[in-house]
Amino acid sequence: MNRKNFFVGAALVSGLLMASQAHAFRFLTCNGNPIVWGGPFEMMQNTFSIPGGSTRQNAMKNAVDRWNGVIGMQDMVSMSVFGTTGNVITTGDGQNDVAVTARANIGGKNGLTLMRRSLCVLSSSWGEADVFVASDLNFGHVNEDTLTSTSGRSTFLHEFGHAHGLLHQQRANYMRATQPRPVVGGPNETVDPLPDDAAGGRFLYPSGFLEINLFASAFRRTSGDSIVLNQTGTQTFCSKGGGSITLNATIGNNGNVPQFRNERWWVSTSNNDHDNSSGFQIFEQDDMFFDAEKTTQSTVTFKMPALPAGTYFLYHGADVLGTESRKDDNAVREAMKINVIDC
Amino acid sequence: MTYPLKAVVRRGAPLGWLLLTATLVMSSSLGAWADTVRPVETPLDALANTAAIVEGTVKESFYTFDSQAGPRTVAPLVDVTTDFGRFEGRTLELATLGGPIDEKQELFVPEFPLLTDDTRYLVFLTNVDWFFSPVVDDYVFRLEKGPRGTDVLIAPSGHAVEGLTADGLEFSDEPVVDQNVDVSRPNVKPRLVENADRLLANAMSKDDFLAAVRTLLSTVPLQGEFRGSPAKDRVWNRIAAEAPPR
Repeated sequence: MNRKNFFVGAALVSGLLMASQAHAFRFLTCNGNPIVWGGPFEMMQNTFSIPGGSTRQNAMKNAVDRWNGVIGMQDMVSMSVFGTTGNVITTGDGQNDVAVTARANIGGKNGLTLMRRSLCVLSSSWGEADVFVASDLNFGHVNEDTLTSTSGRSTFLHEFGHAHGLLHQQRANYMRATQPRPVVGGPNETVDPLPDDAAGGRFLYPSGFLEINLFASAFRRTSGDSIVLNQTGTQTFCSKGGGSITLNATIGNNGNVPQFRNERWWVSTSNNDHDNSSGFQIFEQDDMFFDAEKTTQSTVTFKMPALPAGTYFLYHGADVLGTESRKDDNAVREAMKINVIDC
Repeated sequence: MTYPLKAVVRRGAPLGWLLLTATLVMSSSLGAWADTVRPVETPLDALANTAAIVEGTVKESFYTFDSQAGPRTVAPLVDVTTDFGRFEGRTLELATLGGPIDEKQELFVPEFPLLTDDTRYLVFLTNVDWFFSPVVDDYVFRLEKGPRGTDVLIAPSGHAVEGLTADGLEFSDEPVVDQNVDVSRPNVKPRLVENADRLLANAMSKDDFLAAVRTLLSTVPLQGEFRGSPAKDRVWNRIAAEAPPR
């Protein structure tokens, strides 16, 4: 379901819409004017390499849906009802193609987007985008607690960012040049534009709508610009509680409205307890301010409460009072387990 | 061998496009492509794809167009010195896919680094039968004097290199150069940001970088030769799709 449907009637507050260049996202300019598409653009699915119903198609459609799902950004990209069936993609024919190809055909890259634009006089605009993704990638679901450098799903989202006109930018985002890239939490789709990506889309193609959308992630960007898991392995505690634990935490605001939120940590023996229906809450922080279109990384240290003996999955989540465009990404299963022993 | 220069600008009438496309369909083979075949995820992967590591200064980039190689942005390197591997020339042309197709349109490929004039670079030259770019992945680093007076490396992302191990490169948290790219001045060297000295405080010196490379080379020695021009058996605007395995 398109998240924008939630917000069709949302108030237009123009002052918040033009994301400022305080953000990191990048794009080409011509004499200072951003190079953008003149209007919505259609992509042609190459059904020879991306058959209907395949995981490749699912990954491609996810990229389209997710970019269009950024509220505050116009729906720029759509899939043509027509596809191409040939085994060769031609650039320069005025048709925007999407295809999967052998890695050797795109210089060893995970993905490649060939963009054609009008020459820069006073301004310039995009006229064609052909997206290619390497065939040896994994196009399936990306687990919220797994570091992967071989996701075709991530690559599709990245290349469609290029197709919109965004350039590489090294943040905790999808326009990072290389994988791994962070994913959002939750049991559903984890590959989704992140705050700086969404800010870039809103800047290039503003629509006027507001979005509230927090997410939790099991990933963080290090000071050396690597993407790593917040925590891994297993930590053991005594069932009577009192042991100290330090955890890395990542929460993002994909929306364009600043928020106050609560953060919670819980453990559960279920690997799918994102709503904490059967677990034990172990820590909470209330009324944390969270800026729009930003990812916040922090570290928390607290004492473990008394818990029944067992092996638990660790969860981290954020809550906000307002209605979110997407709620199923608010909690994440971290890549660490908690072992509680009788003592 | 340098890349042969052809017509710099070509008119793009629709009929011409049709004829060109028809010609290419008739004349090209799609079966013999031999570019890099594996991803570059770590510096060891990069070294496995590297013939030589050289330094050189870009002088007056220019554009070419060839019906097979396509639009190219050519960055001529002068005062070339070789740090590792086999490359004996004092000049070198890096011809990357992208640039004017005709008087009205230009090809842009976001995945490839943009090189600017009057800028000295340290470049990993590929050992594969390349077509898109002669540079190994994003392993081309702008050289700048750091606050300690030694050369430091700036990656295409605009971030300074702070470390190199077998696992990966480490970068400054923030970019140290202006990251805006205006296509009306595509070859102008981006200026350093105002607080560059502070951001470069932890930057690795070129000498330390090369020492780290030397250590890694004991695991993955350079091999092969650099080929100065793109593969001849490919056509720039035709890429074969690949069906999923049955």
